[in-house]
Parts: sequence; C-alpha cells; structure tokens
Amino acid sequence: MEELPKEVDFVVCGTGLPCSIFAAACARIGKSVLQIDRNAFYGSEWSNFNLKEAKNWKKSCHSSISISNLKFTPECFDSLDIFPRTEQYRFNINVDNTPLFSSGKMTELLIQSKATRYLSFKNVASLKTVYEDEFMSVPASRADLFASKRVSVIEKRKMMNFLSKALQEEPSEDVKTFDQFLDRFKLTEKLKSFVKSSIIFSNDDLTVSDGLAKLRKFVTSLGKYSAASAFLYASYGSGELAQAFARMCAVFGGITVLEYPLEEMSVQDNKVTYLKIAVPETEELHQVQCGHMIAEPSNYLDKYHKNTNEDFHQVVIILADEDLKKIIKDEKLALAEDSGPEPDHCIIITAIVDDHHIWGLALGNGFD
Amino acid sequence: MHGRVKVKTSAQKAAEKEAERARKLAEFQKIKKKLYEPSENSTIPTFKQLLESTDSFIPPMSEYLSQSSTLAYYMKDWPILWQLRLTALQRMTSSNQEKTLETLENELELTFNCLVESPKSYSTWAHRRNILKLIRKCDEEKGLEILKTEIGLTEKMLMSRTEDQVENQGRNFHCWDHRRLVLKALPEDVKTEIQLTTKLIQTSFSNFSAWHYRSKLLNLEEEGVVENEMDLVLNAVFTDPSDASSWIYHRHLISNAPCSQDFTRILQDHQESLKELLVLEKEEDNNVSTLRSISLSLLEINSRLKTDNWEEKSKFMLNELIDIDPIRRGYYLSRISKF
Repeated sequence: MEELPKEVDFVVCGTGLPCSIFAAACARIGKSVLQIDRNAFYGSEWSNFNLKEAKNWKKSCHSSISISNLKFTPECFDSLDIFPRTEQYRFNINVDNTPLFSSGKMTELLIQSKATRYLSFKNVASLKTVYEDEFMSVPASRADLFASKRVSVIEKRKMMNFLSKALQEEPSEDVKTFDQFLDRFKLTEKLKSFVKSSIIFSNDDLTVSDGLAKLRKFVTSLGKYSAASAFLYASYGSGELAQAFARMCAVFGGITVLEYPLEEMSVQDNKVTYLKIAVPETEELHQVQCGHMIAEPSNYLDKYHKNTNEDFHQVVIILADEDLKKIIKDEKLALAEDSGPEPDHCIIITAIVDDHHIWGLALGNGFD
Repeated sequence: MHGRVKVKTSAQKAAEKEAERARKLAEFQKIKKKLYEPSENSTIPTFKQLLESTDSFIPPMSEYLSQSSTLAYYMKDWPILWQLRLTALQRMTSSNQEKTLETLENELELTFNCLVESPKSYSTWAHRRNILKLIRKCDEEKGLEILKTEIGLTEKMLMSRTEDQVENQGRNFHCWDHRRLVLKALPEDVKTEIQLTTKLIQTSFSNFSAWHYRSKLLNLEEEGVVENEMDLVLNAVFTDPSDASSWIYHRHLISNAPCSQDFTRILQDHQESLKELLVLEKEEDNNVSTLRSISLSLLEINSRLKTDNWEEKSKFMLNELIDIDPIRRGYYLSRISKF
C-alpha cells in the first residue's frame, strides 16, 4: 500500500458531493489534494448502495450511522433478504434522491467540468401526483397533454397556453402573488395543483417573481434532452455524481482514500498546522501538514459536531410486490419514474407533508 | 425553402466558407478530369466504355465506382453520374461478379450519406430505389430483409427533429413516397402505418402528411373508428389550436363520417367544446388563424347537424369572420351567398 503524503495543499475530509466537487476543482488547477472519508463507500449522504452493498454495509456496521442529519439503522436492510442474489445489482438505494433539472446548475457544472465522462444519465420519464385521491400522471409537455385522459380538452388548452405564454409577457402591476398569476390564465384547481406539485415544486405562497423563476427553471429544462422530460437521473444512482468528481480529482493527481477517519486537528493562530488521520486496521495515526482543510459535517471531528434538528430527511423505502397505485393513497405524492431497461423499477417518491420533505425510494416489480 | 431562418455570417466566416468551396471545387474538377479523360495506363473505364459495355464485355468497375463516389457526394443532383454508376452496378450484378452484394450495400451507404445532407434530392432517392431492386435481384432473401430495414429508416427520418423544428422531415414527401413505394414490395401492414401516423401526430407540429396518410388508411365505416378519430382530433385541436393540419382532419371527419345516432351525439359534444374554446380564444391576441379554424369547424358541424335555424347561425358566424379576418372577405361572402 502506497504511503500517504506528509504534506499537501488541501486535505478534504469527506467524499460527499460538495467535498468531491471541491477536491476535483483544486486538483484541476494543480494543487495537491488528499481526500479522506471515514466510510467504506464514496458519497456519504449523497451515496447510493445496490442491494449487495447495502447488505455488506449492514454487516460491517455495529450501530446506527449518522451521516450528517441522516440516521441509517442496519435493521432497515433486513427486509432486503427477500431479494435473490441475481437481483442484487438491479436496484439502487439512493440516499439523496434529487433528479437534476436539465437546465439546472448541477447539469451545467457536470458538462462544463466534463465530469460527464464518468457518468451516464436517463431522462425521468414521467411525473405523477395524487389529486383528490386519484393517482395520475402530470402532463407538462405538449405530447403529455395530448395523450392525457385525466384532463378535459378545455383544460388542455389552458395548460398549453399557460406553459407557452407564462414566461413571455411581463406580469402586470396588480398581480402580486403567484397564485393570482395562475388565476390570470384561468387554470382550474386541478391544473393549479399540477403546477404546484410537479412543475414548481412548492405549495408556499410565492411572489410572482419567485414563482416565475421556478417555472422558468422547469420550462427551460423541458425538452432539452427529451421532448417530454425536464429531468435527468444518473443511471446507476445519485451517488455516482460524487464518485465522478472524486475520480476527476484522482485523474488530476489527487489521492482519495476510504475508511480513513480524521482523528486530530492542530490549530495555531487560526490556521491548521497539521492533521492526524487513523490508518485502518492499525493503531497508527498518520500525520499530514496542509495549507487548508475542508470537512463535511459527517467527516469532521466528533467534538465539533453540532446537532441541529431544524431540517431532517426521513428515508422511506417501500418494497412493493404489487401495483404501487394500490399502495399510495391519502398524502399528496409527486412521483418520478425512471425509464429504460437499466435500472428499471426505480421509483423516487417525494412527499410534501406538513412542511417536511420526505424522500423515499420504492422498489417494485408491480408498477407499470 | 420558406420558413428557413437566414443565419448571418460574419466576413471571416464567409471567407472561410469560400475557401472551403474552392477546395471542394478543385478536388471535384480533378476527379472529373480523371474520369472523363483517363490517362493511358489507368484502369478506369471511360464513360464511352461504360455506355458501350454489355453483359459479355465488362470493363473493371470497382476503381471507377470508388473514384466517382466522391463526385456523387459533392454533387448529388447529377442524374447522369448516378445513371452511370447504376449501369456499372447492373453489369456487375448480371455478370454475377464477386463481391457484388458488398458493392451494392456500399452504394446504399453512399446514398444514405448523400440523403442525410440533401434529403430532397430526386435523383438520389430514385437511385437508392434502383439499388434496392438490384440487391433483390442479386439475393432475394437479403433484399427483402433490407427492405424491412428501409421502412425503419424512413420512419427514423420522418421522426427526426432539430432544435428549432425548421428542418424536421415529417413533411418530406420524398421520404413518404419512398416508404410507400418500398411497402409495395412487402406484405400489407396497415396497422404499423396507422401507428406511425399516431406517433408523428403526438410529437410533431407540422403533420399535414401524417394526418393525410391517416385519412387514406382508415375506413370510416368500420366500427369504433369514427369515435376514436373524433376523440383523437379533438384532443389535437385543443392541445394546439394554431396547428392547421389537425383542423383540416377534423373537417374531413365531420363531412365524411357515416350518419349515425352516435355520430350526432359526438358532433353535439364537439360543438359545445368548440363554442367554449372560441370564447377563450377571442380574448387572446394574434390568433386570427385559430379563430378562423374553430369557426370553420363549427360551420361544418352546423351544416351536418342541420338543427333549427342553422343557416342563420352560420351566416352570423361568417359575418363575424369577415370582421376578424378581413383579408378573406371575398371567401366568406361567397359562402354566405350560397345559402
């Protein structure tokens, strides 16, 4: 095993998405970078596991792991034993579930930095929602509207009109809230609910400019890589994004190691003088001097950990062996469905319930 | 071509373009000379030799074909060149020369590359069809297989789209005709054809060809067809009222569907919805063509349903149209006079 360097420009503690992007950027401009992570996997709270990895992780951890504000308990994965070995690579459990807007900043960054070399993407094929206890697709493109059986012909006209004209004219002075703006287009309650749940993704009382900004993000993304889709999703899971940047860091000369937690930090005159990193399977500590140090919360020293309870993510994993439509009821759910043969049956559910976002991943064979 | 946006090039771009053009022209002239006036020891047959060739006297073809392919690529609408190539290939086929099939397939690829750049070249399309026939002559089974792929290729071309929709090939009659001609050699499959039109209608903005083809494929007497089509076209006109092609199909159905109680009910539903749409659209600007289309369909429904006072109502609508669309005043007046 190669010796770790004793001196670097940057030590990056953590292989989560922001850390990996930072590490890649530093390496790219010629700085020496050492990236460490206490976990045995890349991505920390932006990671994903296939079923085999999830089971292995379960075996190796003895207590619940707190990845920043996420609590993963090994018992979570007990139910995965029902999957036969042949199915293990077909499913990914994503810790962070955000699909990317096709015209969004992350997509732009991926293209500009050429991290796309290490990645492949799929279009998110459809958005679904629950309206008045009925589970249905949200029609947001011309093709969707044409084919939808859930919307009356007049509603189709109004929605098309809205999507094509909303961003073109300046809203008049007397329209203050986004709700009022929607009323100007004479959208029905059903259409307004579609817009809020699956186009601007917000139930709050937005100002016109805030609402339009969100709408613009969606409309400019729609059709960019697929006529009927505004979103991209990494084919092998959202953890791939962090890995791609970590890889880029290595390609430009950085060193990334896993299972190396940060143990000690020495600070003098508000500057970090050296760090001590635990070498796995030994009692040793490796000392490294660095110009700067960046750490993400889950990879920082425990004593500096602040426990904030403001915002939490609850991961809900639903294993379904029957039609999901039967299982989902009551709460308003917006669903994104992945398309294509690999990975199939991968469904991301986001629910906006009482101001907390619940992200969940459902694995199912019964959903068509 | 109408509708195409002219891209302004800066002086430098223009100079670069001119330089490229000059280079291509020089290359073209060089090859042309080689073919028209081959040197003493060249193995390339002259045009005269090619034209005078018979099945029992065949000059060597492959060199000629490979040299003239660049010519064909640079100048796709040069019928004589294609004809000479065809002659060369015909000689190869009938004399059962080695590697004929491979050469013919290469020729297909050449025409493909030419068509990608010039999808509306008459002679290229015709040549491609001739090659397809030759392939079939050479190897019947392979030939039929290739014809099936050909259908897939035409579909790909018809469905192809560029960002600004200006160059989309859904209206390319060469492609449509090519598809129809190739289909003649294959067993009939109306279902696939209808599915293709459905696919095009669902995705594209200019689908006159698709709607028209659909009208020829479907039998309105058949059960369920009229109901299905009326539903489809109503969705189309409401999703995009500014697209004239769907309205034309709508009027076609209204005037040609067989009489029945069900159809009367459908017409009444459409009438209701269209009246609602007209009210909505009247509040918008810059939509004269939409208002015209809606009114023309309503007029068609009126004359089919023939409810009380329908003539008065129609005359009223036509008078309204004169106000909305004064350019076509003469047309509306002539329609009024027919009552």
